[in-house]
Amino acid sequence: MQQNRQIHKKGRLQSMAVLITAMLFITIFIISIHCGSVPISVTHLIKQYVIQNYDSNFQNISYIFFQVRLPRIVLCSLTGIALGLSGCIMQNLLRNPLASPFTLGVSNGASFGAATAMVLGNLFIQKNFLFSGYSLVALNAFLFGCISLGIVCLVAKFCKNNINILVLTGTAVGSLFSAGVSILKYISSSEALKNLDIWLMGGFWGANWKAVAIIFPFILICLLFTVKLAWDFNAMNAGEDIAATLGVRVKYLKTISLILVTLVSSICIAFSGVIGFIGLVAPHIARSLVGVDNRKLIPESAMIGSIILLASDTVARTILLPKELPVGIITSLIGVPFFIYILTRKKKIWGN
Amino acid sequence: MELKIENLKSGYGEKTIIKNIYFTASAGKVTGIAGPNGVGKSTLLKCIAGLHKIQDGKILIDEEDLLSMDRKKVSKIRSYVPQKSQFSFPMTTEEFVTLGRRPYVNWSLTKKDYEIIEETLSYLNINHLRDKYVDEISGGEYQKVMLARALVQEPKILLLDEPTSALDIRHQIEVMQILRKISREKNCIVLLVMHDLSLISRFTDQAVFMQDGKVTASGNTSAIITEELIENVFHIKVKLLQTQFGKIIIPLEEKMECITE
Repeated sequence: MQQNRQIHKKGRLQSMAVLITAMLFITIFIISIHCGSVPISVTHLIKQYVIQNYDSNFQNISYIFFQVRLPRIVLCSLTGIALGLSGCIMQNLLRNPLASPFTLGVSNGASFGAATAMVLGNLFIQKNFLFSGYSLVALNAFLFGCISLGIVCLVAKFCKNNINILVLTGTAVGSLFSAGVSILKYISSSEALKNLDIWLMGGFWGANWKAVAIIFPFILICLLFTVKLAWDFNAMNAGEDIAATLGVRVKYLKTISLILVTLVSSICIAFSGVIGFIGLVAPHIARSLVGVDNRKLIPESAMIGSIILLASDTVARTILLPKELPVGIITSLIGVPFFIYILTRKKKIWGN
Repeated sequence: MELKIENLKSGYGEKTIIKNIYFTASAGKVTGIAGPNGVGKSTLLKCIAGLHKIQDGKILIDEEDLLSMDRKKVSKIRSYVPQKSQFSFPMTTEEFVTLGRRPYVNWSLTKKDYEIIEETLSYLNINHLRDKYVDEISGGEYQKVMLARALVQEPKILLLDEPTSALDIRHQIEVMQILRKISREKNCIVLLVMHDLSLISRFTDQAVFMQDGKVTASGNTSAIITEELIENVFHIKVKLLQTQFGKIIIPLEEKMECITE
């Protein structure tokens, strides 16, 4: 009976960690609303709405708040969720602590897509596509992300979904597309090259509500689907044979979830550029907090991803005012030391 | 309860490895499958575990076809312990054993689930391993933990692939005793693949001997293990010593060159 209580206590502690993370997420969300090149007092803004008494600057402030800052922060949070979640599922299914949402080569595919739009667009139509043709860049990035995923799936299908072959094919296809990016860089004009480099570093400068509206449903579906199958992912942790005899439809689970999470991360980086590292780190940090139970691990990993990305983006926006840094730089600067600390502090995070 | 294999045929791709497999394993008894390396013992076990496609034949449990049964229902009556399993991320014994409840739970574990887990840990005497990581415990403890995970599934059929192959002599005996105890007390069909003929002779009630992808002999262990059978199956001359702990098999050296054939 006492041991029973012990189990419950451990479970409660882990649930508490999830709750605290959720609170931390909300806090960071609120802080980032306030930070930026134009300081905005949200309470002041809301007060004006409520009492219908607008001051002279209201129009500008409310535009900045609703059309620039809020969509950016929401998009940033959603991207963090998608990357954290995808990383968690990838590491589980590929049975590899080094797996990330981009292991199957989508990031290189997407980069190639974006590069084509920017460089060739600049070459032939004489237009700066990074800002004016933002949706074209995103569309192209997504398209090529899907193409690279398609190639990987096709090859893997021939090899009966062997996981090692899947990972290796992903890496190979990734190299192929990154060679493509190099060619485009080599032939591009200096302006296009600069745009491309900025895109490759990742950032949320072009965020708008349209992007949020496109990303949101995909993430919601992905989140619901994976959390609902949490027990199946748990079983997969013990090996495919054991999972199968526990009643998990292993092949179905692997195919659907790999495609789903890769698709979602592909959509995200289409809008934000390549933001590496989060998809790798967030699951590890989450695992050190709540253990291997996917019922808690999946939401925790999503939230951790979101917290890191949101914090990094806020720092990136504010540290060098009025200029901003690409968020990818900050993610690594903040994330790497923290990650190494986590790895060394707790021995048992990844497999041997 | 009875597990009946009828005319089973299976293999990889077009190739057939096992065929014309007939045998019966009954509840409350331990049944051992033996035969030379590569004869298809593990393949046969995997077919019964539903991990490998069969090309023909039937696997019947009380006259009901196991392969056409609902996935969830099957996972409540059959569990499988692989030879070695690889963990992607380290789990504690308790977390691992809890996985066995997956066919029964929707989202949260109920009081009954916790009770069954506790009961099983006590049954196998591994309570103290609860918070240890599965990849850090000794081989004997590991095998018991694997067994616990399978038992928590409350199976009617327990399948094991070489459960004693990595164990020292004391733990071999311990695990075999546990398996026999499980078959008696839980009225379970225990079916295992094994190489050690002395252990088979001592601890199993029924045995199945395979040769060239077929069943050469099956039935009551003490009745079917003879010098002729072993010579026939393994191509080696042996001497059998009847003791109170089953038959001891002593290989004789003369016919060794047959192995290189």
